Amino acid sequence: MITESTAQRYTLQDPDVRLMLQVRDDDDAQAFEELMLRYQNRMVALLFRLVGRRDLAEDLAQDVFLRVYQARKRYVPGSKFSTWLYTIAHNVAANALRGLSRRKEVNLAPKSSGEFVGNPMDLAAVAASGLMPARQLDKAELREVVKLAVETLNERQRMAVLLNKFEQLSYDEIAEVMQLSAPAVKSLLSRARANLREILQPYLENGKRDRVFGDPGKGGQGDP
Amino acid sequence: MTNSDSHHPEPPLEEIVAYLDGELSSDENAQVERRLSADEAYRRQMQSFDRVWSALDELPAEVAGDRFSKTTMELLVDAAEQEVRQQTEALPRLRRKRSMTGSLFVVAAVLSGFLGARWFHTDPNRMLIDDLPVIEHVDIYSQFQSIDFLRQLQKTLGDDHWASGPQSEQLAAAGTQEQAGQWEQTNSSSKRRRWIDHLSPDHQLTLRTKFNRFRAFSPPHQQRLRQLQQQLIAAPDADRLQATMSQYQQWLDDQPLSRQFELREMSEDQRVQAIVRQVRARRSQGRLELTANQIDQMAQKIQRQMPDIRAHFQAKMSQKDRRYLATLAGHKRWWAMLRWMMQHHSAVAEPLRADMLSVLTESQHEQFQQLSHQDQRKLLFEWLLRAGRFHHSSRGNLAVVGEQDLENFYAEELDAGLKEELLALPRDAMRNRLERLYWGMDGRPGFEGPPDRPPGPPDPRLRDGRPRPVRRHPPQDAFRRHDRGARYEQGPGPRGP
Repeated sequence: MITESTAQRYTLQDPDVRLMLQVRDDDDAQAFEELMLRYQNRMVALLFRLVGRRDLAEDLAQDVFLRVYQARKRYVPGSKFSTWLYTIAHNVAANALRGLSRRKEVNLAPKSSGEFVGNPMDLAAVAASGLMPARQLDKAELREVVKLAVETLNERQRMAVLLNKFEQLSYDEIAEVMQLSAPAVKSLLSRARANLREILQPYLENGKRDRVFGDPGKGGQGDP
Repeated sequence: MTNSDSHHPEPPLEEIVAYLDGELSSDENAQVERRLSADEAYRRQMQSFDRVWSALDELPAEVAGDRFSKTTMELLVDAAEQEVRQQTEALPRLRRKRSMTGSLFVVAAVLSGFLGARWFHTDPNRMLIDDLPVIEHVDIYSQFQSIDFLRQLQKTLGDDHWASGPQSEQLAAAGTQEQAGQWEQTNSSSKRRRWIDHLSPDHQLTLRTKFNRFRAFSPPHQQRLRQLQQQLIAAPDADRLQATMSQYQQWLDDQPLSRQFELREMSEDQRVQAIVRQVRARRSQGRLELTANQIDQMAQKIQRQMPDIRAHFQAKMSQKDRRYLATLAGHKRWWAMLRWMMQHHSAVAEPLRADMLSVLTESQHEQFQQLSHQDQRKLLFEWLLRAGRFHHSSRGNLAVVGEQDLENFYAEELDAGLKEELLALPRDAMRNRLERLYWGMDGRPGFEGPPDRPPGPPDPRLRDGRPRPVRRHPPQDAFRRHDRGARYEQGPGPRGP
């Protein structure tokens, strides 16, 4: 239940909330267009990094804005506009990914939160191409490795990372978007970043010897 | 931020990440900073996480296409019309006519507000008319400081299309269109309005977006862009410079944001050199574009190499390495195996490379040899990625070992007891175990690698040399002792499917 004082606070603090209220109260088309122009690139970028397909990302982004429009009369500013928008985007993306995994169009077999789910051949191709971690990568190579590393995260980890990194949402805001507790978000993000580090660290540390087999004493790839 | 579980010591990993995200309370921050100043290993760990996080900036930014706004608004107009229809159908007849008039006004306002040219003719849009030549190219004008930059690009790359592959024709069309538009825009306000009126709805919306961006700039910045545009049209070689500018814009749009940022940070001389290098490298690679048939052939050749690669692993891999790889799951294992192979064993890496290159035509091969070592690697990497996508296992996942190979291995190389054991496992666990056996990582007699390797410690999964009975729950002690970080794969546990 959103109190009047909460609604007033966000109305005062957030210009996007004010635009949305114009859409709600006056069916203001220009206000809606302004919101859409402000968020469309971020929406497409977020959804593209989640689903991996440009055409699908744009379709989903349109779906998000359509839902915003359809929900306009029920809008009450209980948080920043962006948090509300990303909550809708999260639900749209989650539905789409569930549908895709059922059709096996995307390799998203459900895993525990510690498991990678990315494309093994892509990662193998990175290695097989001779991208030695000890050699400094050029930007294009690094970009590809980073992209593959993010794709190895599961859906929840990826969403949390993208919201945190690119949309600068706080843990509390991410918790609201993903309907988790803040401690759960903290744990999710730390596991995600540990997973990313495991893949990327060898490529980022120039001159580091091959760490495939790590220190025998540690029994694995080893932590630094 | 308070931690509801603060009565337990904070795991270092969560603490590090929360610190980097600015999510700790001031007391917790102070505690971390004290530890950072005193603990070298902790500091290195923090730096490592920070470095990885910064690497995500390399991800290219995606932007919504210009058609996105238009098509989205069309969807909304449809939704609005449908709402009006539903509302009026629900009303009594006598009130319906009055309500429809008002509602249709709303719809018409929506339509004219987004899709009509009338919007451009109101007074607040005087800036648009006056600054139209700048606004039309606002993004590209923001990318350079002087027209000498364009002159250098044109002189070095020439007038031929220099964007990559299939876009070059689009560039040609864009260059021609833009030139025609530029001449229109140098004339009177009325001519500019007419030019706008004749734009397609797509282009009108694009123009609206650009106008919003221009308005967001500070007045000095707006003025700088105006002066740049004036210099451009007054230049004796204005036509060629404008064509170069169009090409540069299209090329730049194809670059990730991080690369665009890098280029902007360079001096104009350095930027020209960087662009020329990249365009020339791309040109040479573009001639080496493989057909789908070639990629398919490459995928088949890679797959045919798998038995040799497997034999090599079984012959060369030590027990220690084998045990370590067995602790990894799925793609982590494949990645580690291939890295090991490509880095240390040219005996298998070279034949793989040679096989991939054998699908090239003679002229492609010649061009490939002329590339730098680095460019050759990049191409091989791209081809391996594309070829890999041609190979699917029955689960729809990509796999290095084919289903047929595993089926043959199961039928021809396993004894009855092992087959029975495998059949008792869930499908995913069975496949994982089968793959480990295939690569000799299971530690079972007969699958331990060369006989001259020293035997390792007893396999916890064996009892008196025979496999333990399949458990319904993970044996946590064995998991922790020998398989740190790996996932237990024999039998479903409480968290299993």
